[in-house]
Amino acid sequence: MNLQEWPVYLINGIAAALTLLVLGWLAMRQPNVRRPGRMQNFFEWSTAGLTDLFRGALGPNAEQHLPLVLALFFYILFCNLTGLIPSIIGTYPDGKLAEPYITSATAATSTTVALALIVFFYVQYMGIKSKGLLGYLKHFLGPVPFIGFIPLFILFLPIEIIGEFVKPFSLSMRLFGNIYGEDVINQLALGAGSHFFIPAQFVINLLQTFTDVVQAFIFALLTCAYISIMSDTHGHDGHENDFASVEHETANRPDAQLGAVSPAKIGVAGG
Amino acid sequence: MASIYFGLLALGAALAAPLAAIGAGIGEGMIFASAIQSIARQPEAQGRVQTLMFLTFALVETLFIFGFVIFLILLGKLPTPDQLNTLIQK
Repeated sequence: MNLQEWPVYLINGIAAALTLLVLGWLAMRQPNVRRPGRMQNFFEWSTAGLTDLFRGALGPNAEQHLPLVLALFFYILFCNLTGLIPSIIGTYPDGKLAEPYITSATAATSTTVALALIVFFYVQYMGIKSKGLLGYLKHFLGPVPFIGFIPLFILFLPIEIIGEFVKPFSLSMRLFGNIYGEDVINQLALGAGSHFFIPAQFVINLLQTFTDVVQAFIFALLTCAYISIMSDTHGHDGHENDFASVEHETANRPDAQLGAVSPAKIGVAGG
Repeated sequence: MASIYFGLLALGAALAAPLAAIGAGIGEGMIFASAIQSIARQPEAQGRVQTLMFLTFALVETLFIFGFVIFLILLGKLPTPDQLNTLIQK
């Protein structure tokens, strides 16, 4: 249990997860429906906005996948944002900067590959669960396995299998490349001026914040897309549900039927 | 032979990111242009168009990031000055 020997990304990943847990506990200490506290209100607002977006991308059966997607989004967001905290103390004798000990956990391939593997196994499990083992194996043969007597599945099979393995690879490499690349650019901007030339790093930090949020959002959105592709039970016609209109989904949501006031009614009553 | 290897390595590392950036720049320009045009045509579709814009932006950016990661990998394989000195002296 010697903490000095643990890799730095592991400690930072655990720290990000603990931060999320502490913030969540702080938010829901005294949950109140009619008068939420500030932290509870902020979390509810962000989660509601995100669930609307992910619900459209997930299609039917969105409720059972939402916890994973939202957990991935918030964890990756907090891991990415940790990279903004400066923590370089001093230099080595030959002039090189010391390694920072607060980095983003996702700037290491281990974290991103682990997250992508979680998504990969979950998607395959969802495919087997919704189609059965035989249907899941049959979907690799493509949407049109035979045209007459021409066996098209010889073309579809390797493409589908390679496609299945490329998905987690591209997920992990996209996240790793973006976050680690930002780290490198940050240090380049640091080295372009003197050690404490803050304005150069400030502009890079703004770009870094934007990229952090976008990459976390893209990871979660692609997870939604992969889940919706693999868990539709009518073959490959699930694409029509991608980004389906939010209004159609919200009409069937549980809390829409509790008698919530809709904006249309307010407009008619006020106008 | 080793000098040819290091020379080609440096050339490959230098050309990886810019060549990837050409395609990424053109693609992203088209994405944002079409997003702006569709929002200008129909302002009430801004939410959904914006979501799609960010999604496709990240997908195109990925290909540039692959090239950037290759650049970073090759950067680590370039020789240090001591190795270059021993190489030149041979």
